[in-house]
Amino acid sequence: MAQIFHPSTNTISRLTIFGAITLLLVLVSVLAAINRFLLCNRGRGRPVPSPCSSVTNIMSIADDGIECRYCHTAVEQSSFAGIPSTKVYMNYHSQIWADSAVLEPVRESFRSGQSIPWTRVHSLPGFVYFDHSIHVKKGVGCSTCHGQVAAHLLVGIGLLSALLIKALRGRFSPGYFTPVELTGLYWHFVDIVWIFLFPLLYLVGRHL
Amino acid sequence: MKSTHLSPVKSYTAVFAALLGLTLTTTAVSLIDLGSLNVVVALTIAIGKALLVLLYFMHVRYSSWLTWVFAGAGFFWFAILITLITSDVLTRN
Repeated sequence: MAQIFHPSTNTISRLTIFGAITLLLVLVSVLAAINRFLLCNRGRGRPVPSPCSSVTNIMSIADDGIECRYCHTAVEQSSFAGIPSTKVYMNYHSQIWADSAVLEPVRESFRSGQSIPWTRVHSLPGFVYFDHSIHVKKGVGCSTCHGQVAAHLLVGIGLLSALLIKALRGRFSPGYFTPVELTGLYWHFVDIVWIFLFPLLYLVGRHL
Repeated sequence: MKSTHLSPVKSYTAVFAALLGLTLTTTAVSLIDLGSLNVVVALTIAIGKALLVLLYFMHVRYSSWLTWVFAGAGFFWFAILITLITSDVLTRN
């Protein structure tokens, strides 16, 4: 029986592993740069302490072991989690990134006593809000909802890596390839979901 | 789960190129103000892309009618979800 794969496929798949890792690292840093750029430039001419609210910064704060409620103090009393005051920021940023240029608006606000003029970076209508109280009172942690959003992506990357390793060890043949088929279906399902989410989340309302 | 169909690499490359092209198109169109037509155009392109993935990457095109029925049912359900989300986006302000 004729071989389905050319011998060069071995080299190509090895290259793919390292290429994918490199690509992933590059993508993450580019996205972080775009994230920072977009947030910094939304309010043209106005001081916006945007990196404080960027997703990457919040995640690194959580990684440093600081409780969500250290900044979002209102979450236990009101339906709104609350935006921390300049003083709370300075408790943190007088130690970490104390000289960062992007944090100058925060230090300026701390020196002058003037509040930071926030710029909205999301466009939800006024009646849309989420009441956190029921979750907080029942002991549901913040990251139960806010921390696991990338899980489907991690599952996919894990499955694909496992498949690639198995394939390189020659575990699949024209008679047995069901895991490849099933993982392919899962991955393409995630693909289709994002085909719809991408325009709805990132493109709708962009021209405004 | 034994589909014996083997697509040539050329058809995968063509579908991949088409998906990239459509992504660029939908991003470019989103910069032009067409009113509520923006959402319609974005979703039309998205449905086209989803069909490409379903038919070629997920091999539905070469599968039995039973697969078509199940894939169609899933796609229909997904369309209901997207319509409900869109009804929110379209009626804001």
